[in-house]
Amino acid sequence: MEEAKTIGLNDPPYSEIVDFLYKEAELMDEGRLSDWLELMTEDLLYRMPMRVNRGRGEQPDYSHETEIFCDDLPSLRLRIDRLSTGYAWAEDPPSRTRHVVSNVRVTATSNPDEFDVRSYILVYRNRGNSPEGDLFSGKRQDLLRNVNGHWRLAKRTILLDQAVIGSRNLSIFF
Amino acid sequence: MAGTRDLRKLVRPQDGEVSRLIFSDPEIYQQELERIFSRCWLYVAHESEIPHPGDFVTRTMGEDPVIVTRGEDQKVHVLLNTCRHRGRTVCRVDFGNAPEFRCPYHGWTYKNTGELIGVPAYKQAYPGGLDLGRLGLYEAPQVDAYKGLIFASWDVKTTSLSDYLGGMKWYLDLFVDRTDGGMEVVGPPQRWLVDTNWKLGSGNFIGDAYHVHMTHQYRIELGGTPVSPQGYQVHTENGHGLGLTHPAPGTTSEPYFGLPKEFWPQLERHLTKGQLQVLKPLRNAHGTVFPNLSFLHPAGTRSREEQFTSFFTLRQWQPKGPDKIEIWSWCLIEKDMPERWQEASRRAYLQTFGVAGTTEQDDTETWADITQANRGPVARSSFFHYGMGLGTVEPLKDWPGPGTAYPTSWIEANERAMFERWLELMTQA
Repeated sequence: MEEAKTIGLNDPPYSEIVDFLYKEAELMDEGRLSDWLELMTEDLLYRMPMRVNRGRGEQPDYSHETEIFCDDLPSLRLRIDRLSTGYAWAEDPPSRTRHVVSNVRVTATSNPDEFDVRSYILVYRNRGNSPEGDLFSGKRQDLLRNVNGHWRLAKRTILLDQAVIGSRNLSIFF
Repeated sequence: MAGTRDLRKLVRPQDGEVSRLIFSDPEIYQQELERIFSRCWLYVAHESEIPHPGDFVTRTMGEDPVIVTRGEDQKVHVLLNTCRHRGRTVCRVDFGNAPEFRCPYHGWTYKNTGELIGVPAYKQAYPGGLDLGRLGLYEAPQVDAYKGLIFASWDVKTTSLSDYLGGMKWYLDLFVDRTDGGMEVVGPPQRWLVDTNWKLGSGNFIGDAYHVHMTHQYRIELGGTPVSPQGYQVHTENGHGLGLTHPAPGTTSEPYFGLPKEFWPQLERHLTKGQLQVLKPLRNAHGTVFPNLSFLHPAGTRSREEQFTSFFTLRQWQPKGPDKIEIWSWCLIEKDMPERWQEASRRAYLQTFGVAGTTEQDDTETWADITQANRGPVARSSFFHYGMGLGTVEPLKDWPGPGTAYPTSWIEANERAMFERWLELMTQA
């Protein structure tokens, strides 16, 4: 049944949605986070559950209770506002990031203006003078909403592919 | 190997000087694993993580992997997670419920209380038999809990947990034994890797209220409450200590960390008058149970629009090398609080602490930077300055709790006491 509702690569609004995701990635990588925030809906839920190690076949392999972050629009706005206070040391100098978005799959919902969108991400992050950076791999499950002809992000759940996160912080966005 | 006399020259808390070398030297690190992490009581789990018989979590004590299990008799066992045969780990998942653990290498099987109960093809493989009773998983000889906090020690000769915690128990009660339901963990801990030394984490949480005004100034820029030295710093025996921060002059904080009034009768039942006196006005509490268990209990609002709330986080700076740690961070909430209160508390924690926390980000950045900057021989031969209040601030004579208390939270007495304890353990015969 699910396959019947998956939007083909050549069918609207697949390419519009991919373009939205690319534009969003570009805003994040250019540090234009206020503009990035404009792409969110008022009822945004933006969260990252934590991966855990369980036996093969034991589901889920993320925790229902422990999250890495869980933000609504006001708290996400606070994270972004903090960066321009002049005291966000973890991002001063700023990280250099590259969000590569791929494997996009779009599925219709019962609401004709809303679509489930899954994508894979590889996010490279480098700071300071270190030649070594972090490479975060993950999967995003989004709810995109068409608001007056513009795509907006209403919900995002990110699962990173690490149980122990290999970086001193997650001061960037996904 | 740095000799006893050398360490006493390198670490001089009485002069407010601690050598930078001890934060990066590999030999000193190995000594710490043997003299501190193999001897002290180390935190391993919260009771609420293994509530039922058969429950287990996999943890670490220093660099030794352990399984913390609850037996049928409700007793907690801490088992070294390595097969007695040839060392493969017998449990490879983070948590679960299991009556036994089977080694994937040759199949030796252990009860969840540690006994060796199965050896595949026993008669053929070992016709002469095996002394099965002596081949159970190595078990920590000392396991005990205080108000939900489970600790273990490898040292058969160590003092009881109660004596080890000493006066610190009085202060831990302010957070973990003030309501009938007590605290429970929200879920499994976050874990992340930071290139720094464990003592920078322990040392910061034990007494560094002073860094908040600069490292975390972003909070004030966004409308958060200002900081001041109003408050106290207290250290007890065995290297433990905490800071108790009051609202800055001209600001207020809700009493008892914003716990709803209907719970105040419980506080009055669980805590003494002296404890209530200390708890009531606090805006923040931060501390360390030596060597590497720290906690934080801040209060405030998550964002300008939100209700007043508070949260309690436990964290461990797990040593992975002289310049590497894994931070393990738990969020605990009052079991009996209304759901809305619990959720606000949990979200306040996630906003500020943990690997993505806006406050914690700047701390790990600081510690990683310090470690990077002090690799070279010239930097390593110099000293960190731990002189705040040395010789100029006298302890209080009329303090309601145990330990030595100072009338300010901006002082480095706790750090000095922690390094005195460190030195004592590192130079002991």
